[in-house]
Amino acid sequence: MPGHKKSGIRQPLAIRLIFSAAPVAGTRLAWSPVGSRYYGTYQPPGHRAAAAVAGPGRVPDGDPLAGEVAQLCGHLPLALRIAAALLRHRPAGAWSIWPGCCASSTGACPRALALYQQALTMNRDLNKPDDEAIAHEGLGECHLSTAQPSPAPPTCVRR
Amino acid sequence: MPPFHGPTEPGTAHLRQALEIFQRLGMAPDASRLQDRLDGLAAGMRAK
Repeated sequence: MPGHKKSGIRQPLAIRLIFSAAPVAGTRLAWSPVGSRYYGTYQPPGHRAAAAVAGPGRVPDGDPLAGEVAQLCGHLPLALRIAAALLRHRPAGAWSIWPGCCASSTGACPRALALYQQALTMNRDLNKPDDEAIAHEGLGECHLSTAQPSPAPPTCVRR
Repeated sequence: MPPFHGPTEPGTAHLRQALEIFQRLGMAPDASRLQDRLDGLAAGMRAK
């Protein structure tokens, strides 16, 4: 993941998830340095300018880690959104995703609900209404899904 | 739009919140997407 070295730890500065709900093959995940903290969100192409943060041109094509995360998420929009919610609030230098949970369940996974609720609270506090709306949408979709929660998933942790 | 009732209520409530914010921010594509989603849910509820 792009980032800078500090105290020997590769610290990603920011992440932005870009995906397309359809077709799945169009799912993209990208990141870019924004400030000094994690920044995660999702961005359906066509709904917002991809260049709002850094621009797609700054995202290396075929970045292996981006592909890995997208693959772990099953290239599923909801999975990527959950990953974004996770990444947003991870301390610098470490992030994790729960691809099993994200990819296999689109339902009211307790973890997903908790994450979206956390994102909602944080975005309210940060006065980021657009991301607050996205968190609302994620919570809504989690509640609406009738899928059963998946068992404890494997965890991918980067440090 | 009539309110939703039943098990989908928490979900639709969140979607309505998101719609309200998108509309307030003038994010038309997002608002339209959510409106379509809510309309679809409403149609589904009526069909039951």
